[in-house]
Amino acid sequence: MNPNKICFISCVNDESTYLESLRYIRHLEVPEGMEIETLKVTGASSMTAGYNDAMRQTDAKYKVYLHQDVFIVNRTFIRDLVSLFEKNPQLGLIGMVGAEKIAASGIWWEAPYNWKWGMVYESSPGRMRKQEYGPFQDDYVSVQAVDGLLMATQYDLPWREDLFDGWHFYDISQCVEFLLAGYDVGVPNQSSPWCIHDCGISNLNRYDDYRKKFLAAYGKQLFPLVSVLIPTFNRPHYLIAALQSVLVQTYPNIEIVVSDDSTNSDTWNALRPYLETCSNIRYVRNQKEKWVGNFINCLELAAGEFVNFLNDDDLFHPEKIQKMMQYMLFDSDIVLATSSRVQIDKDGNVVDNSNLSNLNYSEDKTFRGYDLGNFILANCLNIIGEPTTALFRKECLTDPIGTYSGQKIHTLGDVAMWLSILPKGKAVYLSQPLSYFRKHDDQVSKDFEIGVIPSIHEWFHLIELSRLNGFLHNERLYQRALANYLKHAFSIVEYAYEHNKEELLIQTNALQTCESALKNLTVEMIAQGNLK
Amino acid sequence: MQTSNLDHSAGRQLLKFVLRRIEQDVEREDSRRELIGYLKEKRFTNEDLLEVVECDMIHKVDLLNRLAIYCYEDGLYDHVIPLLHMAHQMEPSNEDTLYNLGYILSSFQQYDLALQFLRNIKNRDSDVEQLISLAEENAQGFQSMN
Repeated sequence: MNPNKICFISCVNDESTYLESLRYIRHLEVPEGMEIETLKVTGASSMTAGYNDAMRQTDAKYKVYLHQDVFIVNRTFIRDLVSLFEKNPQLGLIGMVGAEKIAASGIWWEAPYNWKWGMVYESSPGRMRKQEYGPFQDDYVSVQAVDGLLMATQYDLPWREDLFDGWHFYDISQCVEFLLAGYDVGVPNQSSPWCIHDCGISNLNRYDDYRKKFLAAYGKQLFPLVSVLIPTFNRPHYLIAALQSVLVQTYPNIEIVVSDDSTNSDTWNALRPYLETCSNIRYVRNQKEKWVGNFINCLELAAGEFVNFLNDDDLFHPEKIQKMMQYMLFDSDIVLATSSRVQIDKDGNVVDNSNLSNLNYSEDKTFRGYDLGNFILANCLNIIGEPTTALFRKECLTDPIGTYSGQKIHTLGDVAMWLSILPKGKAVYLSQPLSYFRKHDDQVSKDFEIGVIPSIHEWFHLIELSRLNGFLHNERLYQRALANYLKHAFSIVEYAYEHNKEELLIQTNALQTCESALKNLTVEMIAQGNLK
Repeated sequence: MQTSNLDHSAGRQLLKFVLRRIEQDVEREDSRRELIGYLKEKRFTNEDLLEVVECDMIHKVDLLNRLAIYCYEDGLYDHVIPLLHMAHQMEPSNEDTLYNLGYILSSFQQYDLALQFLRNIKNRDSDVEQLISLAEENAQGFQSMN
């Protein structure tokens, strides 16, 4: 390798534009002792193939791979580049603009603004503009990906022509190859843009195919593992639909844990073909207690930093995990992501949604965890949703499933989970429905004895215990929680009487719990001077 | 009637490249001669120039001023005022534009109009003061003649 030589490499299919680009290269100041070479690749089958060809042809240590429509306007480009590389031997590759972290979609520019760095003049909207991120103080900023408009290297790594046989994602792939080889990838500090990229409105033909290829190739190395946990019980037909909705997820690093409570082998038989072909599915028979134990079993087996339960009768939207992880990746304070959801019937048809506690926001909203928890408690309303709906950081669930502050909570086990997680940070509510909640006859939550009556006790326990964990500190909010609780409990009492189930109220001491709530509310109101 | 050549993308690209070289000081003198040649041949219209500057250039006001000076120096007077007018619309307080408008309008004996621009210049050096005095004298001279 000649350390005093720099080679400018372009794949060319538009001679006049390339000749124009060359004018700018010839206009650059060449430091004394430095040799400059230009290589034009024509007829390349792909960008990677063209670049590999050129890479083999030159002995220059420094290589600048640039699009034919890039015009270098920083006269001291060569000196700046070489001195940056000489000063930073760990720096393998630089580009003009890039992202510190690649978005969950695999697209670098979908990272939030403050995660992107660098500057360039470019015309992708159809008009020339300055695209600018930053600023920063150091000589360069480390990134995961840079745009392929111009990539300069001081070491050679083969471009992945085995994977990227077209014109997209060759650049992000090469960045990841440099990172995997132990080099740094960076964006240099530019006082004004070093380049003009006269790309015009981009041709994104087959872009999505290569994006998927990129995610398949590097997704597991780039993105944290998400565990999708499916506790199941005797409904293989629904389970397979649920499983398929996970297998088509666009997020590239997912493991699936199926924990089976079934009384027969139908579930195992239905799953077997999937287990043979999908290496990321794990199946276990639950040895713990039924239902809650099955959830606990799933969680114990989860290897992911992030967790999303999936009830075996529900479904995910194909982009659910990707969209929620986009928030998790770029804000470490977010501990839980949820969304609105759609109700479906036993056959998967969308049905009336009005009974679901969706928040009607037209755009995504981020909340303080405490604020969202207070809203749930003050209204006795699970606005986060069923276990299927939310994705969360596993380490933030500190109460064992089925308990809250040491108290058994089964019917409202999902609310107990959310209240355990929320004090640790922020929560985001995505306005797009990203899960499908199935309404059918076999639902436990619809059973009056198992699913409804216990909620009288459990809401009261959650309200009282949550105060020990920082919720409902405002006295008015606490009073509102008790008042709404009583409204909720009395509606159940009313229903019980209308349907001749009052005996259940007596057997379960539900009325005593209502009485305790009423007493607490009275004491609180007297203490606050609302009553004499 | 002169029609736009910009519908043809190669024409637009040619004009864009030449203007960008002037803007970025790459082979500037050669590019200037090339551009003036195209304008004299009427290969591109004023509208073409303005459209490419507006859509494809970066330092638009500086470039428009530079192009106006080139056109003035090469006798392409029809181009001068539209170029400076666009520069003034884009950045009304740009003092180079105000000076150039004052200078060009004075040279076209439009002294009152020239003074409207020149008097908006806040940082006046001796060239500006001299031009203002000259325009004021000539404006008065014109008034007394009338």
